[in-house]
Amino acid sequence: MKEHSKKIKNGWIIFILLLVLIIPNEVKAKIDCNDPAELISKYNIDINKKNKKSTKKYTISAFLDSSSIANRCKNKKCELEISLENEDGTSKYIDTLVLEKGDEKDRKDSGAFEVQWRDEDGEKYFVVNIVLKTDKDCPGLKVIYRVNKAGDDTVSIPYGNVDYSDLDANDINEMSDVNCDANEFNRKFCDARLLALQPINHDKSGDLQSGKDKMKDTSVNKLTCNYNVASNEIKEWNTNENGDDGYYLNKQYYYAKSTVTTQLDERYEYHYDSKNPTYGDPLTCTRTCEEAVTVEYGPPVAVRAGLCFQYKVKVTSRVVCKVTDKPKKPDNNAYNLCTPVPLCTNATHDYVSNQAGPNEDFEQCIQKCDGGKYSQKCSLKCYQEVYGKKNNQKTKLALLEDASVSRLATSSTWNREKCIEASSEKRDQLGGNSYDTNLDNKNDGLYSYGCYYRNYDNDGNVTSISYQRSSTIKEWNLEKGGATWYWYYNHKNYLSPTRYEPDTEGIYRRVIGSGHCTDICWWSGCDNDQQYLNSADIDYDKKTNKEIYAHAKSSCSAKATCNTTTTEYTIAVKYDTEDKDGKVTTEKVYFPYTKNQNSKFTLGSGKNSGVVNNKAILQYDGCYRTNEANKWYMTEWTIPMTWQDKDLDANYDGNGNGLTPKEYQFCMKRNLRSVNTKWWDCYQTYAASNKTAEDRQKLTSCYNASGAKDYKDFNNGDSNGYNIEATTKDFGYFEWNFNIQCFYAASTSSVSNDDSSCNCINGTESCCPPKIDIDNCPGEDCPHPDSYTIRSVELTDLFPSTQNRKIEYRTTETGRQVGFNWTSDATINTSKNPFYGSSYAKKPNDLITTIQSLGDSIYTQDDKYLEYEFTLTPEKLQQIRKETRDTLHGEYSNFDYWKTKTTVYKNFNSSSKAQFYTSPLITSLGGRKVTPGCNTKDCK
Amino acid sequence: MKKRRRNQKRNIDQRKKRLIITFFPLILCCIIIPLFWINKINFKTKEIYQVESRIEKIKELKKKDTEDYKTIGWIKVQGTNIDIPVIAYLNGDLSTDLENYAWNLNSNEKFYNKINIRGHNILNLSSQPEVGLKYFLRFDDLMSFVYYDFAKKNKYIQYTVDGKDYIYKIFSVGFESSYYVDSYHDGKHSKKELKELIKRYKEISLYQYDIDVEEKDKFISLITCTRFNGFKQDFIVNARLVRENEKLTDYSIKTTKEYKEVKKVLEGEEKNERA
Repeated sequence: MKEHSKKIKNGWIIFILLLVLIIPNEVKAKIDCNDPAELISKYNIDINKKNKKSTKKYTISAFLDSSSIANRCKNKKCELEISLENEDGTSKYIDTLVLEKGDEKDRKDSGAFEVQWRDEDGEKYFVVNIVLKTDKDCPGLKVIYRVNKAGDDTVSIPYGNVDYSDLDANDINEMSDVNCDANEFNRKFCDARLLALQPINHDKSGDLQSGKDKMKDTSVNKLTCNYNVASNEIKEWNTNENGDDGYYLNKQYYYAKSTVTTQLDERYEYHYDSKNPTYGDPLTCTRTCEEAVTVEYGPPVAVRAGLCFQYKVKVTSRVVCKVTDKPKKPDNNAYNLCTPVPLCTNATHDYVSNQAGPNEDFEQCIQKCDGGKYSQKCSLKCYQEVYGKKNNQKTKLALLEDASVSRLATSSTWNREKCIEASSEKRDQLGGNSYDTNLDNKNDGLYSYGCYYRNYDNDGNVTSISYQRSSTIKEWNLEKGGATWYWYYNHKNYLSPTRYEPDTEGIYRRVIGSGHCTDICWWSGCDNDQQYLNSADIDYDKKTNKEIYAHAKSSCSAKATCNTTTTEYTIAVKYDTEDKDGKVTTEKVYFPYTKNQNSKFTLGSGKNSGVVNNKAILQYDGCYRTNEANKWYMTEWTIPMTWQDKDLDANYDGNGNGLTPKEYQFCMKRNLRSVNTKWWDCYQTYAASNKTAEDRQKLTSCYNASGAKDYKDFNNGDSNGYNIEATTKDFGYFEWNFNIQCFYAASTSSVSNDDSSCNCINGTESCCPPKIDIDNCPGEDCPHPDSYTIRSVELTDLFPSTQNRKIEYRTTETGRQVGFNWTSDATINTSKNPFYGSSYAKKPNDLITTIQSLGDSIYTQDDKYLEYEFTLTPEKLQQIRKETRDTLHGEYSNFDYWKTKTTVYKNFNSSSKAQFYTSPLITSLGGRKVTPGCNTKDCK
Repeated sequence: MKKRRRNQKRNIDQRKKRLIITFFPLILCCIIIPLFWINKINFKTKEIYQVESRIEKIKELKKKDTEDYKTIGWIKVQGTNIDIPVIAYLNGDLSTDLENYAWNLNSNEKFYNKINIRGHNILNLSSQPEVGLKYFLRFDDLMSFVYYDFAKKNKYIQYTVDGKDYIYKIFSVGFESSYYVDSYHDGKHSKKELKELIKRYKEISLYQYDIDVEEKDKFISLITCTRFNGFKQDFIVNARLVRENEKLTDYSIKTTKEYKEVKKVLEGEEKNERA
């Protein structure tokens, strides 16, 4: 039994041993070649050290089959982890290859894979390129491995800073606050700002539109004139009647401050892609501007019917701006140059060639040691230094040269600046590959230039980098860069005995005999599309962006100049008239010459027109005249003019024929209705032009005595509100809106004397109420405005009455106040009076002189001054009397009757010639008109 | 009597003197001329290179071959330290851990009518090469041929390959463009190619060797690196295979105009160094 058991036992041992020996082989033989995980488990991505003396040489064995992986990963995502195992057994994780789902032809990861690993000293890296090839253990599987050393590392360097000192030098004072003592302008600005903020705060910064240098449209500043005009101010006004300083008794100050960030048109451009620049965000400029506005306007006006008055408004603003946040400079860090590195695969090593000399490290050592003499001393020293060290890859003498390709030479041995200089200066002169003998110590160098450029997929991701040689690039915009010069010929100073030439992709291939290295090469690295590939692009962008910055900076400052919005102005007068029947008519007249319509006149900013075709504008300056006056705005406007006929009746139809223009004045109708009479009384009593200084002192007392709190309280229920109104819209830098209101007062009554202390005895005392001037009587008690005052006078003294008032036509004498039609205002338009010609008096006052100088001799000079001639006979006198008695009922001077009922006078001629009234009755009685008469203003 | 004796003696002395003057040159010629002819006969017939087979050494080294390279031959150059194996790379790494070696880019161990052997020159790159320094282990010592005196004495190259030691006679020593050298191919050459090469090699040669060279001969070129004229040139020594029944005797050389240029460099370097 024991033996049997022993045999059995031995048999089991043998069986187990067989199992141990056989099973693994069975497992190994049954590898599922379609299972990547199993393949990896068996073959792994196995990093085997192939050379024991080499510490940094690796071979990667990867047994992967494209079709099996394709099948395996068709419906699920696969991952292959790659790592490198070092000599000491430590491994370094490199990368994980992610195999996306899908058919092989559609998958990006099918075919070859590339991973990179930077070695310990960080200088070189290996490219592991796995190409699928057949594996002996798995029929149909393919595997091949390649360890290819890149010619150079990818170069990514900051590309120098840009000097902005020349532009920054202009920033002085730009950021500082205004210095109020610096100059007259600043002083006035500061004064206005101070007055705007106190005692009444007129800081309107809150009315600015958000983020804009513009007032809200709803922001209208309403200003009213002060009815309580101080006596001393009135005196000043009166004594400076022709000066603005005296006139503008009302002044208001406004202020606003804005901080606005403006988006400029400029934006930086970065030619990371030579042909398609990337644009940065629009540049911004933040400015803080302050504007102080002074609004000046006249005091209330006391007028009489038929008389004229002026009302003016003047607005002045001063602007001070400072840049609080300039446009940002281009980021110097944006100028990063990345030169891609060529990577290649090739299993045949066809490209290798003789490397019967030392490597570059040795050469550099020799250069340092003896300057290239290769003395024995230095040769031994360098040999020991470069090749003598053990356990260092550099110690190995290369049997063959493996540097198959390289980036085009822009290495440290080359003067990059010179290269760039050549790029900009020579590229247009030299076509293709050209010799350039002008560079110092670089003669015999052969150059090529071209561009790297990125290729993108439909999603905008960088897929590859390409290179284009000069012949094609010339079609590009060379002015925008793109041309980078590369030196590629063996230069005597270049430490390489071998020769390379660039291929069409710009890859620097080793020349082997009559051919070149046949590796399959491509550009790699520089995947960050925010890096430049071509130095010339950087040079261009640095220059261009500096110019953009300069322009943006300039426009940032310039934004504080003239506003380009057109400013609108209005001025209007509202008045009531009352006819004989007591019917009151209210009219509001906008200027120029429109009724009941808001007529605007405008000033464009910076028009520099020189002449504003609108007489409402008295003066304008600053930005309204020229853009160069970029700090202030000023406009003064007024009622432009009205037309006044001989009856003192204002005419607003705009047809000035036959009327006298009263520039800058508004003329009241004779049937003007009284308004604001209490104020009128006070003013006329104490502040009229014929009042003394003592009288004016009492003006305020008069106001106070009335108990008025508002100007309307001065009325006797006859107020029509503020009847003078001026507006401006979009004025100045912040486009202010002002509505200025004031009033006139008119009364037809005489001024009462409520001064009990007045002892009016002779009627000439100052406290006496003024006498009503019958010749200029505007009231209801006066003759009808269409009537005449008939007075028989000596021809030698037409206005004999003495009123101690200087009259217009007399320079030394005084006399009765003449009517309008005898004043210079009624000047006859000679073009309308051709019958008289130039010999006839053009001005009525001249006519007075002529008539008085002629005296009665005017009747003896035949027909020279003859207008009508008829012979009175008893029959004719009888007929006239009869007409007067029966038809006119004795109203000899009933003008309306004569004019409208009987047409005693009628329009003689058409409007193209002089018109005058004539009498058909007299004519019918045999009268003779010798000269068509037209000696008054109503000649039309 | 005495006088007579004195006269007789004087006559005898004069005769002896005359005899010596008369026959001495003749005797001298009899001695020198045979020596000259003997020497001349030796110059043409005496072998100045002794073959030492390297077949066994190759076999020994082959045992250490790796997957990356294999030993395919041996190169030995007369008068130099060059006595090193020739390898060929096979795969992967393009360097070897051997201390001393030359290489053939053609890994085939066949004997071709034109063979290019390359070797490193690391320590003798200057324009004033050293000769025979003991640490010249590779092709450094090949540069000795720039000196006329050296070239005059050393004219044979031994290349062992395919189990046989081949002896070559040097017929050209010179500098050649690296670009041109890189364009060499390894393998069988046509006669046309060889004819062009012969012509080129004679053009660049520093010396004119008194041997006949034809395209039907077989050739070997030893190539190494130098900085003698900068980076653009390699140094190349060309030899043809010793023809059948041809002895390894000496043959005359004389310098060419190329040598004059080289000499200028050598002297210029000397002056510079002295300066």
